[in-house]
Amino acid sequence: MRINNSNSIDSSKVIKFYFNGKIYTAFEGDTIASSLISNGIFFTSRSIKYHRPRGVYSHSFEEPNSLFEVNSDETYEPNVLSTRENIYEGMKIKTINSWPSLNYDFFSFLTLLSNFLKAGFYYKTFFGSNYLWKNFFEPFLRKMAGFSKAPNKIDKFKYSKKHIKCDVLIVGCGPSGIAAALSLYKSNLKILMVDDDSSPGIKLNEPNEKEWFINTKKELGDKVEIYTNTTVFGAYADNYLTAVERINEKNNRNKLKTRLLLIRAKKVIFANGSIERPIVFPNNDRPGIFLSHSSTYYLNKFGVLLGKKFILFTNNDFAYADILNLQKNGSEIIAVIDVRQNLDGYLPKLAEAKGIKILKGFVISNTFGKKKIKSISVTSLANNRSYNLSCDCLLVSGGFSPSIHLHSQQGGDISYNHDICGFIPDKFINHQICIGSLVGKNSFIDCVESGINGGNYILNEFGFKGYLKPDLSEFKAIKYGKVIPFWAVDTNAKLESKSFVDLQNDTTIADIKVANLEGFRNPEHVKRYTLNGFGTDQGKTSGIISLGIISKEINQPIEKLKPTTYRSPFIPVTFGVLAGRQIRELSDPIRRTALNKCHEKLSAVFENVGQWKRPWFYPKVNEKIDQAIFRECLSVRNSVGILDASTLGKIMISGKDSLTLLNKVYTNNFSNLGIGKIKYGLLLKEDGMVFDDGTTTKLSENRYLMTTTTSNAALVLDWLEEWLQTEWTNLDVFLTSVTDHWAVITVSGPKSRHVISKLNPSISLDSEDFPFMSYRQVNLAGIACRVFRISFTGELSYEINIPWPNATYIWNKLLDAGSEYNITPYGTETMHVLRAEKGYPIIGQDTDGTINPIELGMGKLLSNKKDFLGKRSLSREFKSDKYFVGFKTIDPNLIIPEGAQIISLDRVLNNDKENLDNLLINGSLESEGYITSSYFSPILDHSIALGFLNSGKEKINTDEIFYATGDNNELIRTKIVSPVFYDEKGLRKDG
Amino acid sequence: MLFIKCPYCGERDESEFHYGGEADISRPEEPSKLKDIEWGNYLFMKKNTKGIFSEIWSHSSGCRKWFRVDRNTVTNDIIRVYEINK
Repeated sequence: MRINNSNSIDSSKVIKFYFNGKIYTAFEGDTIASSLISNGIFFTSRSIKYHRPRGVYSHSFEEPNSLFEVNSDETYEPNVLSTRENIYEGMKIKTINSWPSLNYDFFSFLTLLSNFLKAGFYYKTFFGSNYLWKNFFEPFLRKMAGFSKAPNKIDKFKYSKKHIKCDVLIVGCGPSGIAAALSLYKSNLKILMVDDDSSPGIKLNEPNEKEWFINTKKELGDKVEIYTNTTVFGAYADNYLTAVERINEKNNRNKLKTRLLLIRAKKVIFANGSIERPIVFPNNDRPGIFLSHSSTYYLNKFGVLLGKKFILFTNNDFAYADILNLQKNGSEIIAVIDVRQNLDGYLPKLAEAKGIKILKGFVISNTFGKKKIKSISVTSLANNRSYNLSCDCLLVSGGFSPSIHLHSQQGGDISYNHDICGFIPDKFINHQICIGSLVGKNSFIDCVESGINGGNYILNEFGFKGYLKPDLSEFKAIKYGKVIPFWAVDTNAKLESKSFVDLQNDTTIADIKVANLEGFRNPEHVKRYTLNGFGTDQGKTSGIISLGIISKEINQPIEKLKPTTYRSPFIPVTFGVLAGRQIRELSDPIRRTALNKCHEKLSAVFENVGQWKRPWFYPKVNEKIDQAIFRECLSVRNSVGILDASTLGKIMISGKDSLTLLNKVYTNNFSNLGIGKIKYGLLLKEDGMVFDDGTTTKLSENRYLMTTTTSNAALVLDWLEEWLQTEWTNLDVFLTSVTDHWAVITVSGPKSRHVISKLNPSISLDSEDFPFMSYRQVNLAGIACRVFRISFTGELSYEINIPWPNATYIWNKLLDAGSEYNITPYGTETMHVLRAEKGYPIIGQDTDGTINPIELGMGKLLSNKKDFLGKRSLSREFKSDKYFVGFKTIDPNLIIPEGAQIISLDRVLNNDKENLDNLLINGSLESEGYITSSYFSPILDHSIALGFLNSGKEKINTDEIFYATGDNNELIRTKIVSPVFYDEKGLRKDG
Repeated sequence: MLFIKCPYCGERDESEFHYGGEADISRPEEPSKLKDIEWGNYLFMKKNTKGIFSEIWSHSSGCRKWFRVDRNTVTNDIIRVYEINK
């Protein structure tokens, strides 16, 4: 019910919105929660497990109940927190956990079973049969319980990020935060303030307090930058804090929804206050039951009253301010139920003087009202006598728990404070302080003083003098009575299963007791067993109460227990805002080679290789992938093919100690490499495992060009730099990445020599003048190129390095020159098939970081004349004798799946073929090896595969039949051969 | 996220850096003369100091220099940042 119009809403702007299909109105500035309450809607949701009626419970991020699906014409948002989302024209709000409708919910019978459905019930009951769980219980439970459906369309909202550096960050703009800013603002320090609410200070009731707050904020003016509607959700090392700023819909043409603030502050002042907690009692979850402070919030901010006839249930004096505020605004106060017998504070006395009935030493023993609270039953603690009171709104206050989340996220210590019955920060993190109600200050004047002192302390840290000593004598310090620790009302076992500790997860006192009974005594374990503290609210209202209940149950003082670990994010944060603008094409850089346009023109299908886009194959019209690869493979073998190999890593190594470096890192000896000669080399990590391979060319004295695999290009450079800078600091070597300085075109096939010579007929390309594994600086079609005679196909090949800008020109020249030989562009797939036919391993495909060079069949490359990285690791004893071999299937058309396991013949026959998976998993059938590469070879017209096999070296070319596990438990018979399937003598490399 | 002062470039976010682990691990002069256990210690046995720890970092998205950092592993406070050979 709205009784007046406050500053925070614009009553000239009426907004129409829909709730569960019905149209309602609210004003601009309203939240979803205030809009619903002002329309008299209290029953808004169903609870997650028992489908009990629930309503808005609070006013801020602690809200456990009222989460909705929100739709507009083109957007959909799941699990929207009603207390933190502004209403807008045409907004469609829908309840999430009810079917077919909120009022007539199919599953509401579950509440009758709450006595049986305690924590652990589902696990114990449904995990008996895998089949039933998968096919029946899980789908059923998922329909019954849960949050909104995940969106399945593209998010139409936009998100952004902002990096901010400041001298002082003040988290929280309440009285203490503002007071701290007052101490600081004349210093010319860059001060940033952040508050979760859109109207900080709105909960202040006393006119002089309100006035001080408004005037002080005015005085700060533009000396202090204030972000409202912004929640700090993460605090990390070195004062790095992350906040999410909710952009107000009304000045928002770009659909910018939220913005991520990434803040680095020299000093941080946490003034983020405390969160009111309830007291647990039977049926404490009915719509119409609110946290006490929320009544002040909705009244002051939106002019909305939560009811007409109020009852307050409390254990502290602070909640009396709320009830007095309500009375001042004309509400009827039925009674205050105070668990304390003796009330000596100022506010209870004032309330009594104003005619409010206070039931001292009473508790609420039950509540009534099906879809909205109607009456309560109160019981005297002294004589156990009960009677009923009717009301339409019940406020609850169990004291305030400091919001230690951000302090604790960084590992800050906390301790239990008996004055406020809550945990407060103990030792502050370096360059941070905590002030205000976060450290247990509760009255306005205490908070302001705490803020002033905190600000002065920070000034001192920056080396400033002249502290602020404001006159605060107008604020009289009033006496507050002691808060007594009171977490839950004692009741019988039946009502314990209706006494809700965590409203969002339907965790009851009964659940926590079951957990304790079953041995889960640590709060972390209780949390996981009962779900208390999970969900979107992360136990903001329930956490400390559960500790209180556990403490009583296991008979340990609460200060000996630790709240469950606080982790970022403090509030739910969408993926959208974390991603910001780094989505789709901006999510990761895309690297394209100089020849990209040429490939597109040839209708290449691309594949991602790291960040690179590489042509996978070049289909002709109506050609399928297999046909294209077949054609490309045969063209290279029979005539000539052309490949873009620009992505190959290329590192220039220069300086007088270049050779020393090469000899230290490569397994083989580079000392005898002449100018213009090329050598294949293997790089190992110190653990002796193969890290990368490639060729290195001696361009001139002290100048070498090293190539790496595409995927390891950056890693190899990093690794070499690390050795040079941290270990071999005396070496005179310079490394330069030239990967995208030189485009690489490989021309491969028996006709390649003819094609190249057409681009410069004056050079001699025959194998005597330009032998295999040598390099020439050659002028091709007028461009100075580097030509390397190396081969990854086994055919006569020329790898041409061309200055990046000239690559397209040379590519086209080569296509022209090769047209009479039907020169065929081929992609990475054909490249893989051709190299597999030759048994060349691909590092990262055939190896996985656990393969040493001996297993890879490259023992010959290990020099015994010098040390090299990883050598010592190879001289220990090895248990494994697996070896890189070829697999030739008995049926030439069966292709073994990559990753298949190899099983020996006898063992398969002695075992159950049907149960192959189980046999392999439970270890009764051991794998003898595995397949790392597998293809159909067009030139051999036969399936081929590469992989590792135990004692593989001895099995090559024997008659022994092995079985490879195919798809659907099919077994593929195969023989073991040399990994070199084609041209074993290597005659074709010279054309 | 740490705020690290590269000795060559100044203060930068941790995301610009690459962690290299414990400092002062020297590669043995003659690995072949080591027993398996000694080589294994060099390869795998790293300190896990609680308190002030000397480590190496590389400014991989900046000047690409490796340097040393003395960091308190409990509080994450960086006590000293200096060039690798000092």
